[in-house]
Parts: sequence; C-alpha cells; structure tokens
Amino acid sequence: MPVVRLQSVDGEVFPVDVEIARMSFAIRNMLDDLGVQDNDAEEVIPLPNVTGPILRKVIEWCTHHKDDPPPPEEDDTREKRTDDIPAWDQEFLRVDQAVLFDIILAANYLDIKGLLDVTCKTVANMIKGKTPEEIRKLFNIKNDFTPAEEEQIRKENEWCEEK
Amino acid sequence: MSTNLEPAEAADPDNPSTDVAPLHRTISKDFLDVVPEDVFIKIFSSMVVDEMTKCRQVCTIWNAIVCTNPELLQSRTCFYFDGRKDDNGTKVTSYLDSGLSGCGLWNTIRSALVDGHQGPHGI
Repeated sequence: MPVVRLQSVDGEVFPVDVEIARMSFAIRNMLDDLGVQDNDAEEVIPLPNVTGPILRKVIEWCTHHKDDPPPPEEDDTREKRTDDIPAWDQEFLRVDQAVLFDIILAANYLDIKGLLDVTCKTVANMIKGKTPEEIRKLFNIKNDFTPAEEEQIRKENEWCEEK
Repeated sequence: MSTNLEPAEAADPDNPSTDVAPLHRTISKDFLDVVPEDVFIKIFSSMVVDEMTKCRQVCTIWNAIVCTNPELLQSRTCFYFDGRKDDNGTKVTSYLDSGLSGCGLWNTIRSALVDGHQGPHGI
C-alpha cells in the first residue's frame, strides 16, 4: 500500500497509507495539486497547523474509521442528534479540553468531516444541561455583557422559549 | 493495510489511546479567538432551542454567533415570511390576535423578516 508522509509543525513525520490520508479533504487536495498518484506517493506533506501528538490522534481516528461509509449530506434545517456518538469515539475523545479543542481545530483544518462532527457533538454534550455560568466556568469564558445587555437577552429568550 | 504512527507505537485499533501529552496550555478565553466561527456554528447546530438560548447568555461572541447565523436560532424558532409579496405581516398579526390560543401562540410562532423587520420586533 503506498504511503504518504505527513509532517507535523514540530517536525514529526508520520507515514500514512494514502487511502487513509485522503480521508482529509485538505490532504486530498494537496496530493491532487501535487499530481501525486496513489502508486507514487512518497511525498512529505507539511501540516503547519497540527502538532505531532494531535496528528497522531487524528491518524488513529482515521485508521479506525477508514472503512466507514461517507457521511450523509447535512440538512441544516433539521435538528442534529448528539446521542449517537459511537462508544469507540467516546473513549477516543476522553481527553482533556485543550486536546479536544486541538483535535477539533485539526479536523477543521484538515477537513475531516466525520471527526469534526463527532468532536463538535462531544463539545455540545459537554454544554448541554449547564447554566450559562456553568458553561463559562467550564470553558473559562469571561462574562462580558453589561447588565442591560443581559436583561435584553433574557427578554428575547422569553420570546424564544418553547412551550 | 498498515499505518505507521511513528515515532510512537502503532495504535491498537480496538483501544483508542487517551494518553495524549498535554499541549502545555489550558483552555482560556483565547480559545474564543482560536476556534473558527464555523466550528461554533457546528457545535450550536446540534442543540435544541433552549440550549442555544443559554449559549447566547455566555458571552457576546457566542451571542453574536447564535443570533446572526440563520441556520441556528432563526431557523429553529422563526416562521419566515420574506418573499411573500402579498403579506407584509398583517396576516400573521391578525392570526395571533384572533387565534383561540391567544398569547400562547406568540411563544410557538415566531416571525422573521416581516416587512423588512426581523425578530421579536418584526410585527
């Protein structure tokens, strides 16, 4: 199986099956732009936005999911489920927040839809059921609203509440 | 098929690793700047309206994202009238005024872009 070498920002090089590397649409486009065919892929692909530890996680996820069917087209108007994260992915994403967000950023940069989906759902599940204050504490976010703005949002939210 | 996870050992496909080395930083308010808006949209889009409204209250950035992206709060709570040349909002106003459910409808039917206005003040 031909391999391509992915180089992280900190210089680690990961030989990866081309088939697996092409699960990233960003890498797929790079390979296509370089004119690299599956049978002559010995290129080193620099990935300046991804560190070695995170790239290793991304490759691990892609390897596990290499035989998955392509994700369905999104319907923006339909509510998405977050209770359908496979057990393997749940365990895979049992990492600290900094790592989770770096995996999200890597999935976004590398354009790996399945990984981005599952990581975003994980974050959504972390938020669900929490109060705004608890969410701020969870992500260390500063409340930068003025009291008047908070009151305005509270009123608008009443208008949005589902009965 | 093989995938070499050099320089570390190859992963066990049945046991995902959770021992990633810390990246020497913690989540801080900086992550609001680092995470692209598209990603936040994706996170919020999997939430029900009540969760989205709570996210609005977290900070000004999240409030702006939830409120300004049509695929989030607007598409879940609004009944769209834009493009209906025969209706500048009077029909829905009349419906809300005369509906048997009275004010209860106000909470279940929302409007957007009525007569060029948007949101709760649109009617």
